[in-house]
Amino acid sequence: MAISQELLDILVCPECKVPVKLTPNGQGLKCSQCRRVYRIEDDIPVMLVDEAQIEPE
Amino acid sequence: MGKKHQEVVQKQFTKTTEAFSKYAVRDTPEWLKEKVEFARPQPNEVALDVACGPGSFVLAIAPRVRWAHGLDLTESMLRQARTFQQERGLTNATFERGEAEHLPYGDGSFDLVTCQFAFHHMAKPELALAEMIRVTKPSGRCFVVDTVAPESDSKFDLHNKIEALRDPSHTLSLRLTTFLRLFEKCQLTVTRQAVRRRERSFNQWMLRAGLEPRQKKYQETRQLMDDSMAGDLAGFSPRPQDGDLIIVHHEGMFLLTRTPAEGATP
Repeated sequence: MAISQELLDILVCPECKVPVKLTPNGQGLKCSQCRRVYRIEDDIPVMLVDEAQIEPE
Repeated sequence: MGKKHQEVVQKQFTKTTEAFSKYAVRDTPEWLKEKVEFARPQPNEVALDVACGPGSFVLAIAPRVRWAHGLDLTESMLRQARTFQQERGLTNATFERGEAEHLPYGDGSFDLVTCQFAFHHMAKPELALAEMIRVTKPSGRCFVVDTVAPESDSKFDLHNKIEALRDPSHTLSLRLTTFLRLFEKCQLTVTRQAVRRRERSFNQWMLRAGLEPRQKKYQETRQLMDDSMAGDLAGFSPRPQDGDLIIVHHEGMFLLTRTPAEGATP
């Protein structure tokens, strides 16, 4: 089961509250504001600020 | 939630996932059904259960709504929820990992947002409630279910002392009057309210926290519970039964709507 569009439509960064976008490899969800990437584990998005990685760009 | 308390919650619920979800369920099927009905789910609605644990409520409400989401902090609980979902063949439910105080959803995403038995694990439940309100549509409903503590100060203190001894992730069970004040402060209107008297086995309750009779913490908790029996000093109304105790929790169920701002057209 992949991440559905319906879920993508409502998911936001828990810190910035702006929509997140699926990363090109489909393994994470990225916030365009703080550049945090939230990983997806077994189709479950891990939307925890402390466990996200901040990408340089 | 502070990082330290977040770790305590995750540790406690990782330890107890199996007992919590399989051997000592909190709700009987009848209690679960009653809660689903209480929330008045509609077939076109999208629902969210905050701090969903092993997903019992999410999977119970999913057949009654268009889509059901469950969010929890603890990874092992969500894995268990997914296993139960696959066993039941439900395709309209998804689970996300996150914190109740920092919900990862946009404003007004849901028709119904529920949270059960989680406020007593939070240092500041008002933060979670504010987030629940944020992600609820203006026309939507919040549904809060939690243990209600005794009103009297001495019973309240001992009640929470016993709860915290059994489960280190327990912060505070709130009084009914505190819940109602909290809802008012958050501009929520209580549209349905009930307090249910739930009897359960002390041993099963302890098992759900991962504690067995041979363990010191079990014995300490049992001692406090026994000592509270005469005069019901902690409000659990304990009574002996075949070496076990039957204890009582009062569970508050509150269905809430967002109160229109003053002067707004109803």
